[in-house]
Amino acid sequence: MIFDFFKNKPKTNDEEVLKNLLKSQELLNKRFEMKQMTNETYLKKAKDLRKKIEKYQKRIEEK
Amino acid sequence: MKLPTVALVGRPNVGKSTIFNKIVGEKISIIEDTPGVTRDRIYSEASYKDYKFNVIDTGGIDSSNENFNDNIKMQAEIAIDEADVVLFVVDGKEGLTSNDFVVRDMLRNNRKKVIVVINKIDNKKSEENIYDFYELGFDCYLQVSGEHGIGFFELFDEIIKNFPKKDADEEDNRLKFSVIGRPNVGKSSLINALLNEERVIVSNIAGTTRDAVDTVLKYNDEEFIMIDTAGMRKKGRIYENIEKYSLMRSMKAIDRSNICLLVINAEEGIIEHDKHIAGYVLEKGKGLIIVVNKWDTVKNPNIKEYTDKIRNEFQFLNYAPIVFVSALTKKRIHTIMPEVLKVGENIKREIPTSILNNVINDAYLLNAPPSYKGKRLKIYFTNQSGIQPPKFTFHVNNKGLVHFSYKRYLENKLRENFNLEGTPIILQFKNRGE
Repeated sequence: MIFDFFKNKPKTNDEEVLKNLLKSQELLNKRFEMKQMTNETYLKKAKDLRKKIEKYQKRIEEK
Repeated sequence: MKLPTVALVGRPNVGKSTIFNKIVGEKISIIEDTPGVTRDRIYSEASYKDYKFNVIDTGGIDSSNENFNDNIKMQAEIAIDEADVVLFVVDGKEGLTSNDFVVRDMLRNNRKKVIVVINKIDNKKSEENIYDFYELGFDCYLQVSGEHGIGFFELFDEIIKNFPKKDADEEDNRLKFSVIGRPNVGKSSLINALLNEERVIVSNIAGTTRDAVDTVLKYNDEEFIMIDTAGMRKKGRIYENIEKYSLMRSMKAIDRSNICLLVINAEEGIIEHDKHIAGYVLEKGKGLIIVVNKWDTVKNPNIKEYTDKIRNEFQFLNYAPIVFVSALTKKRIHTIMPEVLKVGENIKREIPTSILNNVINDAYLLNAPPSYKGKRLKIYFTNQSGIQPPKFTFHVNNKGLVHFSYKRYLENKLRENFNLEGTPIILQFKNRGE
């Protein structure tokens, strides 16, 4: 049996979260472009997400 | 073929049961009117397109532990051990909570596919919450509304993405039997006693299925596969003795078996849990042998008396043979395999149509059904329409005239005339031209 060490190597939690937060932002932008939400909601959500993204980016940089 | 398993995990009140019911759909249980065998469904089979899979609602497995962390840990352990796909259910209406992170932490660091199911998305307000859930760090997020049935096609498509095609596995013709029963009835010792008694060809092959430990054993020049539920339990798990969990494990084993050996502890007698398991065996149409273990511990053993007691408790299983053994002293262990062999033949029994019709005609003449509103049931013709279990189709004038007592009478007549011991039988009635 050959062990795939690279496959087993766990990604850090923060990297995964950041990747998904960026995905979330992309989805939010797409929905806003398709006029599925109000300006107000978009701004509030985008601001929340930005905060979270910055938090995780900072944590990764510090490592 | 072993079906893939999907497990639902999540903190309380996120709608796991609603999603479970939506996935498995309405199921009609054939034994629901039998007292003592009704139960909450926590495990069921589901199908979508060409795929079949099992679904477990881990939230339904009550650990009777008030502690949230322990409960969630139990759910996550079961999901990781049992499932191929984990559905992590969250509440879209309430938004992301700290408890969701607790569940996330338990599910992380395993290589199971996790789908985050954002439930209760049925209005604009809930939709605004979905972006927050991406902080959980999993790769797949789907929005559904369990209550309104929204988003389930996408969910099904995602679930089956990596499932093997239905006919990917080769069909194994060897007779499969499992040893089932509630915890601590002596399943493991019985299996060990059986393995010592019969010739074991390969022990503990883990190749055929991912989690089940199957053993091939030889008896009378015939190979059998024994599915060992006891061996599947992982020591040290907090859920291993939880009754509902053991029931679920039994259900999984039953699904894969042709015959089930239901082990009963002679000391303790029969309890509700035994009936639940037995009810499921009947529902799935599998052969059944009741094994009374620890017979050596009974003071003044009287087989006749104990048989009557079992027959009285399991009135819906009067077809099942009963064997009395002691796994510890190995007494009467040799009586098990001949019964397995016999039941194995009976579940596949095919009865020639002419003989079948003679028996049914005689039964009809001997005891004609009573008339109802001036109409009487007429049986034109009977044929066997299936095996495992044997299924008989009666072509009648009006199936609405079949009273359950007459159905039972016909079943008894079939059992009197043909060797159908250990196998359930299905009687189906069809109107002419149907």
